[in-house]
Amino acid sequence: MSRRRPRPIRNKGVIAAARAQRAPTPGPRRPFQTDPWTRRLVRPVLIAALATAPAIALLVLVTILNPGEPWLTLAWFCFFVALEGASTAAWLNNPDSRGVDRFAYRAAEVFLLIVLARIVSWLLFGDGLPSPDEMRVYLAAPLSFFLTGGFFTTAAVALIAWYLAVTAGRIFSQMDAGHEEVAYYTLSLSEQKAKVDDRPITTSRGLLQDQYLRLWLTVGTLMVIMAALSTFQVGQFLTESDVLEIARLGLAPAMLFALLLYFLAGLWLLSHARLLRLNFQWLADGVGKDAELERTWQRAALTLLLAIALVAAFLPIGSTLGISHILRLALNAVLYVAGLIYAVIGFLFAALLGPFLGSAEEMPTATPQPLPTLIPPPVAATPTPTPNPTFAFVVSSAFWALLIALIIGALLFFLRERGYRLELEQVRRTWRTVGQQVRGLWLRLRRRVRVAGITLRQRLRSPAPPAGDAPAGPARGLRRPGPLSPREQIRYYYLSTVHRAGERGVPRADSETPLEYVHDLKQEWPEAESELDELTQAFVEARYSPQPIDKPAVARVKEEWKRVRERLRRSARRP
Amino acid sequence: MPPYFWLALLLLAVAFLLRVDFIFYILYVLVGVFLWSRWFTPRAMRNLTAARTYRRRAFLGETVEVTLTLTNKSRLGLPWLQFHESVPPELRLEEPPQRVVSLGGRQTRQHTYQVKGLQRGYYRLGPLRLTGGDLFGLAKSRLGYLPPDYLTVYPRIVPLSQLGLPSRLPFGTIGSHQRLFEDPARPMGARDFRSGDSLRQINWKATAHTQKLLVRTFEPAISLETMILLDLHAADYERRDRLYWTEWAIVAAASLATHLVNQRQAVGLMSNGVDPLRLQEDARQFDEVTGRLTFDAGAGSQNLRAYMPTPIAPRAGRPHLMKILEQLARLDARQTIPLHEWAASAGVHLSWGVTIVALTGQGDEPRCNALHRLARAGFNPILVAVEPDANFGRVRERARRLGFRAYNLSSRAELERWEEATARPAGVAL
Repeated sequence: MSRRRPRPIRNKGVIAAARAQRAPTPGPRRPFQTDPWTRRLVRPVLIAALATAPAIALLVLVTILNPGEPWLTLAWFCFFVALEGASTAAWLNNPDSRGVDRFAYRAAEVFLLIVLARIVSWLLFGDGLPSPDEMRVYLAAPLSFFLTGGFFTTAAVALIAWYLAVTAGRIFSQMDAGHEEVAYYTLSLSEQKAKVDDRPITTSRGLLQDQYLRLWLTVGTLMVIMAALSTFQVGQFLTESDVLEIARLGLAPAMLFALLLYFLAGLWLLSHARLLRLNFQWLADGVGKDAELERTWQRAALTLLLAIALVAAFLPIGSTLGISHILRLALNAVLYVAGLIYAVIGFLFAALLGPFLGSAEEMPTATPQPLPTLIPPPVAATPTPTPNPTFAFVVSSAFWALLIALIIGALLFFLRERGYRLELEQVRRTWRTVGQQVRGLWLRLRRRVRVAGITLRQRLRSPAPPAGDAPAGPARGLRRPGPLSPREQIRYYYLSTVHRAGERGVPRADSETPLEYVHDLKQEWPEAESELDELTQAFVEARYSPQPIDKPAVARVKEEWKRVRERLRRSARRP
Repeated sequence: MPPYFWLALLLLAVAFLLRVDFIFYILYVLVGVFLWSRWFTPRAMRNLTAARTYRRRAFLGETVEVTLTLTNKSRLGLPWLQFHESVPPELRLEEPPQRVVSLGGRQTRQHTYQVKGLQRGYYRLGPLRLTGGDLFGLAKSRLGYLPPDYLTVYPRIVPLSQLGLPSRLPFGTIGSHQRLFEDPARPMGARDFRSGDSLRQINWKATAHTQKLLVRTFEPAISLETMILLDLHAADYERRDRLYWTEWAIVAAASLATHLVNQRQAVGLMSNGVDPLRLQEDARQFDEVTGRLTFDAGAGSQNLRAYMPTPIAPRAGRPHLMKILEQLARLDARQTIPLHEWAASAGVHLSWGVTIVALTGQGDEPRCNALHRLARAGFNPILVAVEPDANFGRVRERARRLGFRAYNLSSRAELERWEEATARPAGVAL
């Protein structure tokens, strides 16, 4: 195999010069700023509100059908789910998220939302945390954990809100100027010409806006139907043949709120869509823009909508009765005409088929013979098989294990794709640290138990102290001096001495200072006069002086304290 | 009909059929938003004023700052306003200003951009196009318009010494004490008495007032008035470099005029070129490449003489110089009337003894004869040829024999000097 030598480029200078001539000098970028608050806050909240409104309407219907449960409380959960869906739709539209497997990500997201819905329904419609009996039931029959009406309603309503939020969020994310578009169109004209091959493919913003309008109006129609349904007397559905004649109630406040929220948020989003369309037009035309414009736009849209909504609230609400009658008549007329056409077609069809069916009509009709009645043979009652408890335990355990693994897997996948990665090394480090602390705690506990056991044995062996005498241990509530600081150790020594002296019949009055109290002690135990003085002086310094206390000083005080303690013990043993 | 229109109708039909009275409220809001958008946008644009502020004249190479002022006179804010200003490519330092802003109630916004005069001419700044609209796209975007303004960029002015002309030309002999060159009818001021001054020139009143002997001074004699005859007849220049040499002739004329005005002498201008500003306003056309006002050949091909500029009579002073420079900024060379035919008629309204500087391409015989006729008519003609001529000595000799002087401005050394002058920073002091 022959190796071909690389062909040398002889005209490097010419090529470099041509490249330099072709590549224009990068000029200043055109000023085009977007407002991050509009994208990160206003838009997701608006989309979430828009998606929550139909969920509220559904919850109102559910409340009418099944009163007694706090269904409307689920609106907050729906809002949270919709907010999550809208923000995820925007995140998935980022260039950094292009590599994410959307189907798997959405599946994990839906799965986690269902799990969350179960927890929420458990908290809202259950009796708080499950009792051990309930837990046993859940463990033995896992499906009973899910087969509840509250959970189904919560999951369905939340997923509807989520779907609407994701759909609207995707439309608005695509309508917004993408990163590639901003990067290309903010170049100077000469650079744009040089990089014309990198020109991003533009999306038709008009079509996207039409998509949003269709979605808004379609769901709006459904909202109106739900609002109408919520006003009917449910009990009359069984007795009244004409649906429109059923007695009607007023709109529930929650339904009113849902309608208001839906249409006002939708109008605000319509204004936002207009802004996004113009944004792209300005970007492509090289029109400079500040971020302040978008903030002003949102403020103006909100102010205008609120003002018009306020004014409209004072206008008289008309009656739809007349128009409804007209529409019903028109509808009946249309149905009548349709029936007429259907009858004519049927008649013509029958007339065409008449000659072919004439012989058949002449044939005598056979009189139907009564069929013999079949008496079913008596069936022996089959005994219901008793479930094998071991098999049921294995199945339920496998189910729960699989479910927990799925939840953990979905959670890890969801978080990992969002950039929250699990650092195994850090987990190991944390695990080691926690293990060491637990081990240390365990060792300390064991040592204390051993010491306590020894002390107890000694006490059991030693004669019982005289009545009224306190045990000779350290003061109750005082900690051992081991882990204390030098200053606290000295306080411990002094206070334990005071406690012990109190038990020996020389209590310290509340009004006594340490220096006054030491006189009492010295009168009682004159043989320990110097030690008591030293101990008191060390305590006063430790208590009131800011000077640092070194360990040798503590050791000295400890020696003094031991001697005082010995004297006090000896005096206790004296008859 | 948009596809969502039927959906909207369906929504209304369902609402009315199911007797949801609340739909009236939604309708009120929708109609309110629609009416507001329809009513507010045109009103907002009517209450908008725009203005353009800048210096109307600039020297070559000078940067001019243009300020656009947008004022919203209404109490209500304008959610968005897009403006786009057209700037001639020849003047651009940056991309044409086009931005979108929001204007609050009674708010004024200013936007500043800069242009630079890189070529003499008469340029159009603007128009400023304004576009505004509503927040929902329910009303059509409204257009506003600020009419264009104009900027004159003067031709290059170089010092006379760098033009290659001698500084002791007749029109340069300032401070002449010969009575022949003084006009007692045109007193100019007073100065200290010097030995040799005539006693008849003493200004006695001023002497008494200042207690110092002062004499009157007079403007130079009438023969020191100068008229520049700028030949811009296209055929008088070589076809190959016609544009270059006509521009050079204009530069020479501007420099001469500036020099003479600096010497406090009267100077005028006549040209047989065409002034595009004499065209009807609707016939004026600005070049798409440069943005400069150009003379459209088709517009005035019938009688180009009608578009020749009005002669500017000799006057002194800077305002007069500005007038001359403005005209020089606009002139274009066309096939109007040759110098040898035009020169005789040019001197009709001039005083006797006026120095006539004829700036033309070459000093051929017809042109020399025409100047000779001017000399015989009592003027002081000077021929300045701007195109290179290897045998210009013969022209000079012919001119000497015909009674006037001839100069050539196109020798290599002179051109190098001129190139040095052009390489310097702009803004030559007048």
